[in-house]
Amino acid sequence: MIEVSNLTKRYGKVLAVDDLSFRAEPGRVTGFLGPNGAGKTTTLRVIVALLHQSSGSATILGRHYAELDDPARTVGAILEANAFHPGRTGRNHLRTIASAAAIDGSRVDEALALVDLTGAANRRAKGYSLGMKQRLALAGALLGDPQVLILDEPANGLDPHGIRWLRDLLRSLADEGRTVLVSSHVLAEVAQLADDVVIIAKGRSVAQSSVEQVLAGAGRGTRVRSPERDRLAEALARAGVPARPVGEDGLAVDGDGARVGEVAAAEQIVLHELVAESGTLEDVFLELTEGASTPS
Amino acid sequence: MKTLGAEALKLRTTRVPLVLLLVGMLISGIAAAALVGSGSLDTDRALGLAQGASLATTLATVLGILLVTNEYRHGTIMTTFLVEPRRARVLLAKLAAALVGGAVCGLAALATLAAVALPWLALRGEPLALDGQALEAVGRVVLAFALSAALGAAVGAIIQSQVGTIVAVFVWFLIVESLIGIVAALAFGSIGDPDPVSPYLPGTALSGIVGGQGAESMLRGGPASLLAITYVAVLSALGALAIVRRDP
Repeated sequence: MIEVSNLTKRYGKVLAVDDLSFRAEPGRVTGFLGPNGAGKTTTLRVIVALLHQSSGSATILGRHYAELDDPARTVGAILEANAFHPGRTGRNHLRTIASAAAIDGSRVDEALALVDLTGAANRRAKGYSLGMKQRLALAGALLGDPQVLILDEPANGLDPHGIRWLRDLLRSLADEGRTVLVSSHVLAEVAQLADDVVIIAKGRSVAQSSVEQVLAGAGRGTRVRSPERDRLAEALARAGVPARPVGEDGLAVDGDGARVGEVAAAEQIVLHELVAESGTLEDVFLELTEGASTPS
Repeated sequence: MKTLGAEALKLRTTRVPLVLLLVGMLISGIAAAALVGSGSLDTDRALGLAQGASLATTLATVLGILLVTNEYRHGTIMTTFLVEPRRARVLLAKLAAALVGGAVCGLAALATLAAVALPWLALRGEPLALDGQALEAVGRVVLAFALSAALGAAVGAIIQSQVGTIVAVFVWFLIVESLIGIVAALAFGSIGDPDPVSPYLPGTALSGIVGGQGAESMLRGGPASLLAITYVAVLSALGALAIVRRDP
């Protein structure tokens, strides 16, 4: 389990993380979302003691990262996809980690096989594609067979096959009871993968709960078209269902389709279209983080 | 210590350290040929020859610098800190690896030197015995190489940027120490006289371990070694402070 409590990180005058609290539970994949510059990477780096926080705390299994007995066997982390010496081979990169963490050398080949890099293991890292680098970083994170995984944008550079493979891998790791915290700005990816989400903007938490709950709260609405649009709007207003005109003959209704159909039938209004609009994680995300992203 | 083993592995799994070692051997071989061929060796021939090997200590400094700054340059320092979050220990392992790596460079330089000089001297009928003097010369060269590498690692930890460290170290050795000597000479006497400050600067102390053709006032041997060790220790302490305080 990862627990972040009232975490604040200041860089000079800039408040990168502002009183942030959340938990990532074992056995679940927790998606950590936010626009670019929201403070995701800063938060993840504080959790693994690569950055000193200004105040608050972050613990893993109840202890600060630097106080863990065997950090490399407890936590696997990717914080930078391209953190390799370009002249060192993939296998040797993993060997240096295994050597420093006193991990058995046989794990190196197991980890290489797990990320499907066995064939490229003796090539220098500078010749790797972005996707291969991402997989090598993942092999490094998995080397110590850790209970907790912290992955910053692990899907960057992966092709659609790679993304599906990553999703299945993280799912099975969580199903084994591990804690998986994964940051991303690609929402479709997280919606399919995560059990829980933590959404932050400008360093503050704006939403956290299970993916289902977030989606349920995403103001489900109905889109309806009718040649008697104005009469329908009046009827809906009398029935206490808010609606606003869209286009020439459409209405966006803040209510479910059955209610709209009932009102229309009672008033004998012809409908041309009645579509239930379920919210997506993207809608929720955009709504919650509105104005928080920096266009780039 | 497992972290030291990992540092040694990092040195062995990239090409540049090997290149530095080979260049050091080449320089020593050329220096040996020049020293023996010119017949300029006189009283303490072993130490005179050893000075030929110590030309390559600069390469050991580069090795030490790379040992630390390569990790910052390529971002692998994050992985290193994930495995060992006690950053001062990481620096300690790197300093130890630099001392060992520097000593290996020194031994390789000496081996080349011996391979060129000893048969040549023997053929000329002036064989060099492996006596106490010769062993002391070997010890001094190895110490100079080891400390040069550790100094590079310590300054690398303070500055962290690779280019910044290389520029700072070489500007200091090649320009700043000479400038300080000139200013000190002007302040305390006249140019040409030995000044009272230069003998105590780190570059002079390091080259005094083996003993060069520098000013008569320069520290040599034991005192120079002690001073150089003190410099390396102080710079290492500052490096530890910087590496702990400044996040990657």
